[in-house]
Amino acid sequence: MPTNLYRFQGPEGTIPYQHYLIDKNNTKLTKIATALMKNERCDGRDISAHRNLCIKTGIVTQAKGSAYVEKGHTKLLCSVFDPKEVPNKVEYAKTGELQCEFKFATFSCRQRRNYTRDSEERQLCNEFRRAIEPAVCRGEFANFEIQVNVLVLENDGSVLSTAITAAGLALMDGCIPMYDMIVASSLGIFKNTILVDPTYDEETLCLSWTEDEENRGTVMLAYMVSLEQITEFSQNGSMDINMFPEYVQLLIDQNCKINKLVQSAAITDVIGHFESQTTD
Amino acid sequence: MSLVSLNEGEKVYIIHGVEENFRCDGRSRQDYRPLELEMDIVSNANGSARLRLANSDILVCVKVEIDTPLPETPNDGKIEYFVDCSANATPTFEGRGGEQLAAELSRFLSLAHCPVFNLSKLCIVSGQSCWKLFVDVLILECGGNLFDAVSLAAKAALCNTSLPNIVGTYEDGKNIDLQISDDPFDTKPLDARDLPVLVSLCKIGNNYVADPTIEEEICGAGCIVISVTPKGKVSAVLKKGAGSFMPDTLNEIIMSGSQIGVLLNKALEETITKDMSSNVCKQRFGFLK
Amino acid sequence: MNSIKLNIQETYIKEYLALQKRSDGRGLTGFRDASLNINSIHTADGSSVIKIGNTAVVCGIKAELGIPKAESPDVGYLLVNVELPSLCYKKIRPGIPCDEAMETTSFLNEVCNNCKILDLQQLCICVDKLVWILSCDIYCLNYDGSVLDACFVALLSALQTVKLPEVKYDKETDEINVIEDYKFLKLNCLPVASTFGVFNDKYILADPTEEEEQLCISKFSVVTDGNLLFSLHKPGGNYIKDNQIQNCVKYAKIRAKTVHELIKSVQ
Repeated sequence: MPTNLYRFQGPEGTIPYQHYLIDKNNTKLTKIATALMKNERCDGRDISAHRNLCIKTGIVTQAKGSAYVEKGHTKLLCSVFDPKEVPNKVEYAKTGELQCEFKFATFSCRQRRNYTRDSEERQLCNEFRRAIEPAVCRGEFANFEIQVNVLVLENDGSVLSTAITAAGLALMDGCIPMYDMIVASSLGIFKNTILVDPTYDEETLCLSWTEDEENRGTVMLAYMVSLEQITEFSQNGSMDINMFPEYVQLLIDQNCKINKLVQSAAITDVIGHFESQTTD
Repeated sequence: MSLVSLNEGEKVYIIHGVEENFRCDGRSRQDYRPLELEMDIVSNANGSARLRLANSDILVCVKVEIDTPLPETPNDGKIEYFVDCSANATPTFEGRGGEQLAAELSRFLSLAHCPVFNLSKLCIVSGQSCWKLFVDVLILECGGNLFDAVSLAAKAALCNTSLPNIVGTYEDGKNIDLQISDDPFDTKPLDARDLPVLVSLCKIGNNYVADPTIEEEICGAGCIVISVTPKGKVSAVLKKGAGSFMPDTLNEIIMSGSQIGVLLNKALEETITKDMSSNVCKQRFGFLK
Repeated sequence: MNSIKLNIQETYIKEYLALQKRSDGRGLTGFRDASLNINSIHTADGSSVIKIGNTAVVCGIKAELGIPKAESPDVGYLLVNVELPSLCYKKIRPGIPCDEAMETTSFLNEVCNNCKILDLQQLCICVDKLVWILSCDIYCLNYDGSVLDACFVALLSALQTVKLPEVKYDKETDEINVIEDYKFLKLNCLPVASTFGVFNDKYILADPTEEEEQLCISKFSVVTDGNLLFSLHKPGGNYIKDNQIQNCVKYAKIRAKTVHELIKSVQ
C-alpha cells in the first residue's frame, strides 16, 4: 500500500475477515453454478430478466446534472458539470473533451478498495469515456471540457453498463447537447447459458478459469437506440466467434427495454425542469 | 497518439484508397505489414522476444520469481504485466504522455490472457508458494498498431520462458524451503501456446482495415481490438477511438478479426517452433547483438 | 461575473434576514430536515446514508484484521476519512483530497479520539498480535453546506450498525478462526455537530446552505451530545460575541436531541 499523506491509514497487510469464511464463499459459488445448470438464478430471476432499475435524476443539486441508478444491489451516482476551459492548454481543439472519473468507494466491493486509482478503475474509466463520447455533440463546445464523474457505492455486478446508463441520464439532466440517449447492458455467459445482467458472484463465476471448451465470460454493449449505433463493446472470457451475433442482438433487445425505462425517467426529469422554471 | 498530422487531402486519399482495397503501402485491407521476430535475446531474463512490425518495435522480457499465492486462490500463480512507453518511441510519450496508453495496454493484455491462461500451472506448493511472472513490455518505437505488436511479442516471450526446476522441498514446521536447481539449463519450458493474440481492425469509411498504420488510425472513426486464441475463440474485445458502430458492422468486424487472428496465431506458432528447434547459433538482426 | 452574483445574493439575503427569515423559508436558527437510512450498502460491514436538506453523505465501514501498533498493543484502529469527491461540488477538482476534506477528516478523528465514542479495547482480539481495523469512509454525495454535521451523523449511525464476528486466535500456531457469531459495537456517546454561519456580525445562521456558507464571514461548529459539550471549533474568521456562542450552544443541544431521536427511530 503506498503511503498516503492525505488520509488516515491503518497498518499494512490487513486481511478482511471474510477470508477466513472462504469455504463458505466457495460453496456459495458452487451452489450458484449448480442452480444455473438448471437455469435457475440465486435471486429467483429468470435467466433472461434484468434486475429492477431505480432511477433518480438531479439528486446532486450542486452539479449541473446528475443521476442515481440502482440496479439490484449495484448502486452508483453520476454527476456532470458545466463545460469549462481546459487548464494549461495551448492548442485549439475543434471538439470538446470529456473528462471522466470512475471511482469505486472504498467500501463498495467485497475487498476494501484503495483511495488511489487502480488499473481496473483506469480501464473502466477509459471504456466509460469511449462509450459516452460518441453520444455527446462535442462540436458544440470546442476547446472546452465537460467533467463526468461516477462514484460506485456498491458493486454487485454490471457496474460499467449501469454507469453508462446513469451517465446518459446525467448528461441529459445537465442539458448537455447529445445525439441520442445512451443505454448499456451486460451479459454473463456460463457454460453456454446466457445470463442477462449478471450479479457480482455470477460475473466471478463466468470469468473463472475452466478446462472445458464451453463458452464463458461477460459481454457489455452500450447503444444509442434511435440511431442504432453501438458506442462501446467489450467482452472478456472465452467465446466462440459464431455466438457473437446472437449476443449482440440479445444485448440490443435488452437495451431497448432499458431505454423505455430511461425515457420515462427522462420525461419526468424534463417536466420537473419546466415546473421549477415556472415557479421561479 | 503521435505527432503525425494529416490535412484533409491526405485523409481523403487514404479513405478512398481503403475503399478501393488498395492502401498507401500497397497492402489490401486484410494484410499485415512485415513482421520480424527474435527470441531469447536478453540473457538476464527467463524469456524474451523482440518484435518488429514495420516501424513498431517491441521488446518483451519475462522474469520469474517465487511468491506466495493469494489466500482466495491458493492454487494459482501470479502474472503481472507492465508496459513502458519509452520516450524514444514517439515524442508524445515524453513525460507522462505514454502513461495512459501503457496502463490500457497492460490492463487489456492481462484481461485477454487471464481467461485462457491456466494459472494453476504456476503453482509450486498449494497455498504456500507459486511462481510469479513479470511480463515487462518496452515500446522502443511506435509505428501504429501497438496492441497487435505487443500481444505477439508477449506471447512469443512467454513461449520462450522456462521455469527453473525445483529439486527439493524441505518442510520445517509451517515453513517450506524450496531448493532450486543450480544449473541454469535445468529448466522446463512454460506452455503458453494457447495464449491469444490481439487483432486491431480500424474502421475507415465503410470498410475496415487490419494492422492500421498511424496515419490510418487518425483517419479511422474507431478501432476494435479482438483477442483471438489459436482455436479461434475470442477472449476479449475492446473498442478504441470515439466512433460508434452499426450492429452489423460490429459483427462483421469481429468475424473477420477472428479469421485473421487464427492465421496470425498459426504464423506465430510456426515461427516460434522454427526458432526453438534450430540448434545452430542464430543470427541476430536486432540492435541487441 | 461571480462578484456581481455574490453582491446581488448578499443584498437578497440581507433583505430576507431583516425580516428574520431565510431564502428557503427557515428561521435564522432553524435546522434543515434530515432523513437517515442505514444498512443500505451490503458490501460494507456497516453503512448509513444521511440527507440534511440537500446535503447528502454516505458512510461505509469495512472491518479488517491487522497487527496493532507496538506502543499500544491492546487497542484496535478506528480510521475515519472524509472524501469530498469532485462529483459532489463544482469547485472541487479531481485528484488529491482538497483542503476542506483533510480539515474535516482531522477534526472528526480528533473528536472521536478525545471523547472516546468507542472503546478501542473492544477491538482487540489478541494483545500485540491481532486487532480489528475499522475503516470508516465518509463520502459526500451532494455538497450543500454543513457537511461536517452530516458526517458526524453518518459516522455514528454507521458505527451503530457494525456487527463483528467472533475471532479466535491461536497464539502458538498463528491460526485465525472466524466464528459467525456477530456482535454489535458498544458506543459510549453520540456527539452531534451543529454548524453555524456568521453573517455580517449581526446574524447567526444555523445549518447554512452552500450558498449561505459562501457569503458568511466565518462559520463555527459546536459538538455536543445534548448534555455535555465536546468541542467548539471556530477556525478563524470574524469575532463572535460571548452571548451569541451561548445561544448557539443552546440550539446545538436541542438539535443533538432531535438527531438522537432520528438515529433511534431507524434502528
